[in-house]
Amino acid sequence: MEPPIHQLDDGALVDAVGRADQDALAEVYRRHGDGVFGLVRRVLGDEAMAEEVTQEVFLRLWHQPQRFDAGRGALRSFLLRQAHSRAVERVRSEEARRRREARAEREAVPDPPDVERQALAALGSQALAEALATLSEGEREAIVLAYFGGLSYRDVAVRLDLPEGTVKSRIRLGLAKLADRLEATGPGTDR
Amino acid sequence: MTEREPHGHADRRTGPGADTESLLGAYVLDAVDGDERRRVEQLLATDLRARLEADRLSAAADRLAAAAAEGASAPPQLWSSIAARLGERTEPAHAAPATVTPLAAARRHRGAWLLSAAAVVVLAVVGVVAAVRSGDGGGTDRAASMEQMAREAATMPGARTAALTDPGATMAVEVVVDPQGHGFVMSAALPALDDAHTYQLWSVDGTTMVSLGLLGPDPHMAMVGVDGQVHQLAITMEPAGGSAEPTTAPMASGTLEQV
Repeated sequence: MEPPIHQLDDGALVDAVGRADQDALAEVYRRHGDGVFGLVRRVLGDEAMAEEVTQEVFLRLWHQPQRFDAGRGALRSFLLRQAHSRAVERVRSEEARRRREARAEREAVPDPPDVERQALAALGSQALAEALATLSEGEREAIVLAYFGGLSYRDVAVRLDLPEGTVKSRIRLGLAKLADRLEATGPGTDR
Repeated sequence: MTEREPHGHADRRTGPGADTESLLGAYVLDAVDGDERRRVEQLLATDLRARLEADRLSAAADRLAAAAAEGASAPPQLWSSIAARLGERTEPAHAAPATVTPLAAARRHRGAWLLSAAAVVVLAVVGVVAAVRSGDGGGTDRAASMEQMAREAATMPGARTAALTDPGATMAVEVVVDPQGHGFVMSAALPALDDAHTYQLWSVDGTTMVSLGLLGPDPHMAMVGVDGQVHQLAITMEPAGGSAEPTTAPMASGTLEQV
């Protein structure tokens, strides 16, 4: 007999989602919905847009559960990656829309929302601050703007008035340091 | 400030590969544009070292995501908004019922390279890493680059190829598998299906068939993980979204042989 939904592991839950089991999706949402919403809101800085993107993430899992492969990592990581990509798409489409509207009104392109402020507010999280504490200020700034500000590395370079290659290097090196720390300390306690 | 590679990576490589490799960090943060993303994914499909680095960097990005996700609370009405939209599509892409081989079991048979290629996850559809439909204008460059990779794979020592066809030889699908298990599926003659159906590639071991991936309704090129234990291949027509085990008889089949 199949165990109760809440006792299934994430992989078995997604298999059940693949059989159009709405209770299984509800359980996936119960476990990971808050986290997905939290990450998306952090990137978008807007509650309403964060709700829309969170909906998209779970609807995508509903319609395409086969995209998740339990052999390649945890469901939470998979959902958070999807959530981040979708949130970044939204940031960029909002930016493009603002520019289109500004052109239509023949005005100068307005300053975008205060990305730095929003992104650096992310440091209010203790776990995040600890994870980023091992980086140099330049690496931290580049990674935070790219990841939590939803900016491309080119946009980060423009904002920080740095060569694009420097920003690429800082992001790559900073992530490598985080990876080193992860490998040294084992699986995180923050998930 | 001068441009330079990060410590530990300097002088590793020069030329276009090095330029693409320098994007790996930005890639795992979704901080590249579409062309750069495609270049990185092509690199990851062929370069084990780059894949291993991308995996490490992705794990670090996962830590950022997990930390940002911690302690958040979604609005209480959000689940009901999602639940209300579950029926929006008339043809949800669901696999076959539970009486068939669980997908999780099928996944365990897949090639090890897919397990390590976490950074390619965005394009993965049941094992198919990348696919280009016939007549997909926007996919021409990708198809050309995948064909180039397939040609190079076919020349590697230990590479295997198969010609999948039916008894009447009306269908022709060529498969090239390099020694690392990257499979390239190229359709020369395969009738286009309607969008309610898809071709699905299987490994065949006696009477057991394990899904290797969905090829779509009108495949031209696809990449898929094929491990060294797989020898017999078959293609079936399945409902869109694929099946956990075949629901129709193979339309084309063939055997992988050393080149």
